[in-house]
Amino acid sequence: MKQYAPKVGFVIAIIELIHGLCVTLKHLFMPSVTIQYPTQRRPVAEGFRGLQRLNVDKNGQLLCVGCGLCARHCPAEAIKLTCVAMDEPDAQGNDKKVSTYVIDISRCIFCGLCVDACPKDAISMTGCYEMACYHRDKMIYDVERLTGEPEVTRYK
Amino acid sequence: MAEITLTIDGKQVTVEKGTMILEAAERAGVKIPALCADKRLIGFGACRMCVVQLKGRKALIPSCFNPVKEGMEVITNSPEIIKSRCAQLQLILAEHPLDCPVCDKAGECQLQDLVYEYGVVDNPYRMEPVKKAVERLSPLIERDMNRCILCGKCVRICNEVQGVGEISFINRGIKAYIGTDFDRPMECEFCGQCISVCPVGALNSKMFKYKTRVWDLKNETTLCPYCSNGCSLVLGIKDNEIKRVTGDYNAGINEGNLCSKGRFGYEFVSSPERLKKPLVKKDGQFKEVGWDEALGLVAAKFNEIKAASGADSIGGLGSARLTNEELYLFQHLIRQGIGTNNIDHYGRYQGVLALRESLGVAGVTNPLQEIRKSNAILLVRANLNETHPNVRIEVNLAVNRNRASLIVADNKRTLLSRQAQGNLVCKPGTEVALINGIINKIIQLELADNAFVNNKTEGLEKLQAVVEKYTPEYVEKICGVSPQAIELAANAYAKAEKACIIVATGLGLVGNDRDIALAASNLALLTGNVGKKSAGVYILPEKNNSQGALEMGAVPGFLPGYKPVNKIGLGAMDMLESGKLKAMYIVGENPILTYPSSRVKEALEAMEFLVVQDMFMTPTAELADVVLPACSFAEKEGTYTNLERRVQRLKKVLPCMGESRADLEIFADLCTRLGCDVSEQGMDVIPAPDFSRDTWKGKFIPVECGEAVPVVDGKLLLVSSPSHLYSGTLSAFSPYLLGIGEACIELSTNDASRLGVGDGDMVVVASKNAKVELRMRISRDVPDGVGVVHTYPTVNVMCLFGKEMMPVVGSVERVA
Ligand code: SF4
Ligand code: SF4
Ligand code: SF4
Ligand code: SF4
Ligand code: SF4
Ligand code: FES
Repeated sequence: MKQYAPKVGFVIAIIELIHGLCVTLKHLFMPSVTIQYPTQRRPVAEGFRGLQRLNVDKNGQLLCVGCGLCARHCPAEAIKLTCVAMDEPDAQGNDKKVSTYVIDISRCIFCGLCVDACPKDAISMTGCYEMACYHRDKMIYDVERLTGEPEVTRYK
Repeated sequence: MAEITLTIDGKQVTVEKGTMILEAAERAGVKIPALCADKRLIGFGACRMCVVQLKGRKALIPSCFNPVKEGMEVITNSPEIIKSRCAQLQLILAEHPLDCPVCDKAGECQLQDLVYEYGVVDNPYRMEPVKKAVERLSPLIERDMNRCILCGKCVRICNEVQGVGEISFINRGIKAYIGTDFDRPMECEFCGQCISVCPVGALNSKMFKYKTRVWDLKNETTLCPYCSNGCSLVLGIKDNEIKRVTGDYNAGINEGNLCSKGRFGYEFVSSPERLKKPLVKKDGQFKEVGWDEALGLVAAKFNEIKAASGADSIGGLGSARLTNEELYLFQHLIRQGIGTNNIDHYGRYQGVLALRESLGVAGVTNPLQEIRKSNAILLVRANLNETHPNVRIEVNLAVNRNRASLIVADNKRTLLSRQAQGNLVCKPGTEVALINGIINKIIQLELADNAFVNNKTEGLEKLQAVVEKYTPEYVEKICGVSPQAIELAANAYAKAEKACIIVATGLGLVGNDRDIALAASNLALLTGNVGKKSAGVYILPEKNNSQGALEMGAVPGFLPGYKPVNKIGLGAMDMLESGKLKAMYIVGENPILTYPSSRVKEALEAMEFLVVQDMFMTPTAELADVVLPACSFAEKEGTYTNLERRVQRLKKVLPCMGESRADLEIFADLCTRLGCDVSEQGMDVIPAPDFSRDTWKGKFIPVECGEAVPVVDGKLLLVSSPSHLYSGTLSAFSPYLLGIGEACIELSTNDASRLGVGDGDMVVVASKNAKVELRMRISRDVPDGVGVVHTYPTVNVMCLFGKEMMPVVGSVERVA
């Protein structure tokens, strides 16, 4: 009996090897799960909290009325805004205009409290999560950047 | 006063009789919501938020105008009460726009807070509100009647406290709103009191509008830098800038009342025109230099001039806007460091000082808030609306709440004349004769307080000898006031239990201040109105620290604490006469625009060396060799002494702008450079006034008054009237404030048509001293033959009057 012992081990090893190779072989023919980021991107889940967007009406006017509640509620104090009084009110009877609105995205913790606080649905969170950049100044998002399409770095 | 004990929500509290339940509850620590109540106002009962119940009764009673009764048991939060309050809020919200996101009041809105507190989420009464146009035409104040809840606080404070009555309820019922007559833009004092009491966002300050949200402000309490009333201001600060000024009922002596200067005159602090670095003139051009170089140069030059021409060729001109500490150190610098008594500030303090001669103490005799309990008030040349707006509040309260009789003696009718029992419009410069006439009448009617006169005064015979000739007929000839009016004034003043006299003084007021003050104190002594509550003589100093400037010895004739000097130096106007001085150090004053002489500029140009320490590049600073940038009131520490001699603390709430330094630091540095001791040993102790009630005796010091200056060939007698913007050392740099006034001359209708000028025309006003171009305004308040010149920050009208500062004859002609 003693002389068969190594042989059994050998056979088991071979079987396991074949088994393993089968798995590999099977995966060779399965569709791949690796996403080729950054050339490929996955859609984010609904409710994902990414970069904020300032919403505009159909005339391109900001919905934001400058109430400052978003800034008030932001736990990271990332939002700063100032307003000016217009001499004459606009068609909606509004004479308060937002003159500057910036979010320091390097402070923002993407909690979404600004969105909850906004009484005018003027701010919402987008699926954009790519905000890395080479310069800190680029982390400051102003009205122009917050209303436009999120800036996405495209690779060939 | 009788006391009453009651229980509120089980808490026992004892209050004075006549207290309203609402106030008693506050003292018991029970909070009752109230939208239309204010401690300064009489209960009104508009909002019905303050309803309470008495134990065992069903009825809801408003607590803001129901006085307490002995043994009352008040319940403030039963389910019925809560239900009623909620319903009340729902009714208010039925027509409320709820545009909180764009409403400046949000965050401190009483309606918002109550709606939140009572959890009013649904509203059965919602109706579509009719949108009313927002009134934006008035300066400084914007009215959005959509948000008004008709609590009436604004109307009441304007009436009851300010005595202006600019706004009122218009229409009734559902159409009611707050407005002016014929919906014209507001033309009032712009004290902003109405804004401050509005519980909602219906009245807004245009200066603060949309600047920031209230929760972002850091509130700091400090003192007002303008008049001698010494109000406490609450500065709302964000990003190191004053965004707004409010009052606080519980801070300071002003019960939260502020005037337009205090409330809206803060812009100069963050004005871009502020000086940020020391400047030295090299080849006619200012160059920015470091402090060391500038101060080194000042010290070296002063030493050089002192060595060459003697210390008395140098003079120091301080300002009554400096703190006590700075004024002390400034006179220390001039007296010890340079070695001359040529130190002064242009405060027109002769009136205040005169009281030292007659009553023993230079200053008002009674606290400010006693005026409201007075029974008779005699205003002599005191257009308080313009000069001391918050003293006016006291007068107004005395007249309206205490039924005091008010006698106004002035050169024209003032706003307070409307409420006066007697209006004595006297010819300019004859106020003293008028007071002497009243004294004469009082003696004749035997209304003098003989017991007081015998025990507490001396020199009555001298007074009698002088006033003998001021019979009503004689006074009528001099002043143009009828004998009946004088009799009325004499009766009203002398028969009152407690009567006070108020005289305003200041840079913008012409007349013989010393004589007026002495005549006033004679009158008060004669009727025993000195040394008792709610009576006395109020000679009101002008600026925030005018009183302190006297006490700190920033005058040529006194050391600190009124100690005598061995050699009296030159006064402000003398220093500014050509050729008298070689060098001057001017701190916080702008003589070119504010002093009554048109030759100040020449004198300053002729100076060998001129140092100006100021916040701004004023016309005076432009002539300087060295300009030292000083801090504003918000950027330094110290104390101010207000008109009732209350020493109050100024707080540093902002960092200094640029490299500017507090005046105190600059003086201390210069003291060291000029080799005078600034250690504790080097300073002297200012003695408290030597005063004992038992041995005190008032002195009658009779004063005479001649006839008014005769006016010939169609000319006019000119007098000045200070505008509430004052001389403009600060207000000139507050653009919003400048928008609510103008430099003008007021003429009567007859004079205007005689001279052929129309309302609003530009005219040249000329006196023997100077010529000024001003706008002409027709006024029904001005008597014929008199021209009332209003001061304004950007024009020097005082130069018309010359350094005598007396009414002058002048001509008015239309600009060709
Ligand atoms: S909360 Fe909304 S409306 Fe208000 S400032 Fe922020 S984004 Fe604008
Ligand atoms: S007044 Fe008060 S409740 Fe009304 S809109 Fe303004 S903040 Fe809101
Ligand atoms: S600003 Fe003053 S004077 Fe003018 S309406 Fe308001 S309370 Fe009255
Ligand atoms: S404007 Fe303001 S203070 Fe005046 S009645 Fe309306 S809510 Fe009251
Ligand atoms: S009354 Fe005088 S101290 Fe008071 S706020 Fe007005 S200017 Fe300032
Ligand atoms: S506070 Fe009493 S009714 Fe308004």
